[in-house]
Order: sequence, then C-alpha cells, then structure tokens
Amino acid sequence: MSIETTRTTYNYKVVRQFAIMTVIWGIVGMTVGVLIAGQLVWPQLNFDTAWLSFGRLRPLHTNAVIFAFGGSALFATSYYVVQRTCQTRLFGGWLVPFTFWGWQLVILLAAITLPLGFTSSKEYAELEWPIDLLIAVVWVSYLIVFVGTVHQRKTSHIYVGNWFFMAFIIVVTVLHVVNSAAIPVSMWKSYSIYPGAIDAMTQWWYGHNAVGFFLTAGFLGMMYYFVPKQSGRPIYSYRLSIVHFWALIATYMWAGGHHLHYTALPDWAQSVSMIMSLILLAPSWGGMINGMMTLSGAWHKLRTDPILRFLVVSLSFYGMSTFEGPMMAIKTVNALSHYTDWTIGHVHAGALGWVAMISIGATYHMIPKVFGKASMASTKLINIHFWLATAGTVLYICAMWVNGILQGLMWRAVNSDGTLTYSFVEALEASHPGFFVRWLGGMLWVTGMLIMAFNVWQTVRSTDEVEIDNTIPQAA
Amino acid sequence: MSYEVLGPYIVVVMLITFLGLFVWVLLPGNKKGFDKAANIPFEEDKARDTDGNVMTENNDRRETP
Repeated sequence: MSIETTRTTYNYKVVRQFAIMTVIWGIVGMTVGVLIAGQLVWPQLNFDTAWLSFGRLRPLHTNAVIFAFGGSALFATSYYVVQRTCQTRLFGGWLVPFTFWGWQLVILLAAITLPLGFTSSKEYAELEWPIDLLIAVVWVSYLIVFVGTVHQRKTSHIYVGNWFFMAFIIVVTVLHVVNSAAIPVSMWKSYSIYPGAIDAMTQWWYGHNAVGFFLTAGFLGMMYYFVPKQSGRPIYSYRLSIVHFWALIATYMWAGGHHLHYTALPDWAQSVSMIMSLILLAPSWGGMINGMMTLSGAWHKLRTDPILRFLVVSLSFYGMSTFEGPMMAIKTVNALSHYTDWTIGHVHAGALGWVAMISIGATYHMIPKVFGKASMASTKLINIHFWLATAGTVLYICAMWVNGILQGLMWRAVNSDGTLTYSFVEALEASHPGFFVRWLGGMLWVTGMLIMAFNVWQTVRSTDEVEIDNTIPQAA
Repeated sequence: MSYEVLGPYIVVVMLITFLGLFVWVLLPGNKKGFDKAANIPFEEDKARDTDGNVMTENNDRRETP
C-alpha cells in the first residue's frame, strides 16, 4: 500500500519542511542583520561582550540569510519544481530527509561556532573545516537526489528551470570543495592551502560564483517556474532561456577578480574580470527581460495579485543590481566605490530585492499547495508584506548609495599639500544618518517577515482544506 | 601540447560553440519542440475526470491573449 502511494504521489514532506524553515531562518538571519545595523548606529548594542560583537555577528548574519534562508528556499523550490516538471517522485530514499536534517545541522553549527569566534576568515566561507566536511557530504547528497530525479523523469525534455538548479548545485559543489581546501591544525582551526594572492583569487572566484550560482542561477531556476505559474502563461521565449542559461554560466566564472581591483592580483587578471563583468550584463538582462515579458498581456494581474507583484518586482531589482554590478566592476568606478557602503547597498539590492523577494513570492505560491489549502490565509497581509519589503529595500539601498559616495569622496579628498582632507572618523560621523536609515529599512523587512510567519501559520492551521494535488500524472 | 600553444584557440572554440548554440536555437524546425518544453509547467494542470484520468480536451486553463 505504502509502496503504491510513493509511486503515485510527489514527496511534499521535505518541501513543507524546507518551506517552513525558509520563513524561520529568514526572520533569524534578518534580525541578526538589524541588530548589527543597529550596532553601527548605537555601538552600545554589542553589550560589551565578544560574542555579540559586530565582527562575529556579521558572518553569522551573512551565513544565516544566504545559506539558511536562501538555502532553505532553494531546497524547497528545487524539490518542488523538479518533481512537478519531471512528473516523478524525488529520487534517493533516505538521502532526501538527510539533506534536510544535515542542512539544518550545518546551520545550527554555524550559529554556535561563529559567535564563539571560530572562523577561517574567508568571506561567505567562514565555517571551519569539520563543518565544511559536513556541508560537502550534504551537498553531494543534494546533487544525487536532484540529478537522480531528473534522470528518472517522465517528460522527454528537461525544463529550463531544472537546468539552472542543476548548474547551481554542481558549481556550488566545485566552489565549496576547492575554496575550502585547508590544512587543519586543531579541531577548530585550519589554514588555507593556497598562498597569498592565489588564496585571494581563489576566495573571490568562490565568492563571486557563490553570488552567480547560489544567489543567481538557483533563483533563476525558481523564476523560470514560478513566474509562468503565477501569471498563468508560459515563459516569453524558451529559446532566449536556453541562450540565457549557457551565456550566464559561461561568463560568471571569470568575473570574480573584480573584488580585487588595485590589489596584489596581477593587472591583467583585474582587467579580464572587469571585461567579463561588463559582458555579464547581456545574459543577466536577457533573463530579466524574459521573465518580465512573460507578463505581457497579463499586466492587469499585478493589480490584484501581490504574489505576482513580489515576483515581478524581484525581477526589477535583479535588472537594477545586474546593471549596477558591471558598472561597479569598471576599475575607475571601483576606485570610488570599493570598501564603501555602496558595495553593501549593491549586495542588498540583489539579496533583498531579488533573492529574498523571489523566494518569498515562490513560498507564498507553494505553501497552500503543499499543505493542501485553497490559498494563503490572507491576501491582504501578503500585500502589506510586499509594501514593507519594497519600502525597506528602497530605504536600504538609497541610504547606502548616499553613504558610499560620501565615504568614497571623503576618503580620496586631498589638500594641496598632499595630506588627507578628512580623517576616517570624520567620514564615519558623516555616515551616521545613512546608518540609521539602513537600520529602519531592515526593521521594515523583519516586520514583513513576521507578518509572513503569521500568515503562513494561519494558512497551515486553517480548515479551508482542498484535496492535496500531489498525484503524479500517469501516462495514458 | 601546452597551454601556450592551445590557449588562443579556446576563445575560437567558445565563439564557434556559441554561434552553434544560436543556430540550433533559431532553426525553425526546432520551434515546435521548444514551445512544447515551455508548456511543461502547465502539463500538471490537465483536468482529470472522476476516475483521476488525465483528460486531453479542454485542458488549457491559460488565458488567450
């Protein structure tokens, strides 16, 4: 009997687990972000304890929002999409729940070790070697589950969303294993096997492709399923999606060096990364236009459907930040923007505007379906969440633009005798209002996420049940 | 064969690969297959009769432009 059930239904249990954890880790990660944003306005908020100091909480924030919130959203949506577009149940048996519990354990270990000060000091790869080993095992399991599911598909074609998900999973495996290669000297301390400038280049090859494949390709996989589904029409151009895919994955690999302009990295490597970053605008906008144009003829739906609004506005922010990125990779622009708050603003235009918004839209679409409910408990609350998130993102990035350009100009100002016009502290004091506005933007975001959690809870416990649509279509 | 000898040709190979990709994507004969693939997310919406069998007629719930 149970064998019969597993053959004919999709595995929604793991999707439900990851979808719920997406909301929970979103709240946790963003709350830590708001706390450290507050520390920059009111330094007393570190309460004079090392555990709550900015330097230790900042990597906790980035790990929590990227790998816990974003990661859970990617697991949930990729497992949902691959089953429904391949018309087959998830492959891998016990490996499937292992990816869930293993990933939660990684997050828990990160939340313990980072405040304690254990770090490899590699940005977005701070976790120490025992956790890195666990990540590798969980991630390879994810790869086996996903590729195994695609392999046993009932459809003849692999839908484009699954191509993006597969590229994301495969490349993250390679990035993680290569960049985390280290020599352990004790249980919680290791040293990178790469020396000097090579270590820096490896780190930013990893770091930028973490953006390109974890934060972009994976979420584009989401976009190619949820935008058509929510708008009720197929993707604008399937041909463009194929060109988009190959151009994006071929170009991203070369752009990492733009994080190291004017450093010990050889000049030619800096220039190559700048050129490749500029070329990257084409595939990025190709994908953005493809998603946007899917709505042509259905724009009126935006008036009544806040879930679609999340998805479409995420594409607008994607377009905006993928224009800003190549511009900031130009060496002369980078001379002004690097090390300033502009970079942080750019990251959040992508992370809040694109990654978080599309994840939230996809989660709102998915939650009623995997819990067997007619719809989300409250459309009105989704709309309020949408406006809080949009206003929060705009406040955040505008504050960081102002601060970034201000800092860049103050740092480079020199007197006629060649001395610096401003001390560092003067630039810091001038940044104070921007820091406050950024904190305010973050507060709006956390408020929105709390509303989402309430709405999801109300949906899950609601009695407005419909028959759960988890039956795999059987060939006639 | 070293990187010094083969290196310059990598660019040429990549360019040809991309041109090939464009030709493959734009060949009129392939359009039907791509249109079919684009509709994969909607195949699951096919209406079912009371026995749970997929009905082939009137299964497209999408609006016409």
